[in-house]
Amino acid sequence: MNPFTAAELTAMRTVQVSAMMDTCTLRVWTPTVDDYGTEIEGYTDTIGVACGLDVTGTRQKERRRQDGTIAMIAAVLRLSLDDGEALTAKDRVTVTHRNGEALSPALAYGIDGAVERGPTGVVVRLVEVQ
Amino acid sequence: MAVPSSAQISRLRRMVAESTTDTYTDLDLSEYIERYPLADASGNEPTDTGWTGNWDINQAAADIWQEKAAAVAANFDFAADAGDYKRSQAYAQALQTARNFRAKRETGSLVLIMEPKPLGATRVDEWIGNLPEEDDDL
Repeated sequence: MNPFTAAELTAMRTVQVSAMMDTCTLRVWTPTVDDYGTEIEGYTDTIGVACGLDVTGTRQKERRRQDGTIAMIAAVLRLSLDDGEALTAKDRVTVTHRNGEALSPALAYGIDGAVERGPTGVVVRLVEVQ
Repeated sequence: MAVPSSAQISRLRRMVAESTTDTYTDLDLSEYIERYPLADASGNEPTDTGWTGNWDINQAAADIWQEKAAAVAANFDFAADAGDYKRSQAYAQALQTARNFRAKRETGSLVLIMEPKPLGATRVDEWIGNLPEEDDDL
C-alpha cells in the first residue's frame, strides 16, 4: 500500500479542521508555587479554539480513579494538530459553542489518558469527574 | 449573430448552483450554452441566416456538472482521528446531477453511413443495416 503523499495528508487535515464546527477554551495546567512551596492551581486559557465534540457512544463508561472520584467518559474531542499537540492529562477543556451556537452553561471537561496524535489531528477523551 | 440572453445565462447559473462569478463568469456560461444550438421557434436551423437563437441549456448544465464532478474526483473517503468523511459523495452527486440534466436534453437523430458501402447494398446510397430481409414477409 502506498503511503499518503504530503498533498494528500494536507488535504485530509484541511477536511478534518473544516469539520470542526465547535469552539472550545483550552485550559493548560500552569500551577504556581506560593511562599511555602505549596502548588497553587492555575490554568492558562486559550480561547476560541476550533474543535469537534462528539458525545455519541461514550456515555455510561465509568471508571473509579485512585483518589476515589468517578471519571465518566463523556465525549471525544477532535482538535487540529497545532492546537492539540501540547495538551496533557492535567489540562482541561471547556466547550463554549456547538455548531456556532453559544452554550449556557459551557461544558467543562477534564482530559482522560494520553492525548492521541493521529495523521490528521489530535483526539482527546474528555471526562466529567464526579 | 444571436447570443444567449442574460436570462438564459442566469437560468444556467441557477441550474449549476454557481451563484457567483468566481468560478464561471457570464462569458464562460455563454460559451457553454452556445455549444448546443437548436432550431428556433420559427424552425430556422442555427446555420440559417434568419436564426434568432435557441440553445439546449440542459445539455450545457450537464457539461458543467460533469466538470464540477471532475474537480472533486480525487477526493477519496477517509476515516481518521475520530472523523469519518465521505468525500466521494460530492463526486457522485455532481455526476448524478449531470445525468439528470443530460436526460432532459433535446433529442436528436444521427444517420450512420457505412464506409465503404458493402458490396450487397445496391439499392440505396445510404446503406441501412436493418432493412427487412426478402423472406421477412413469409
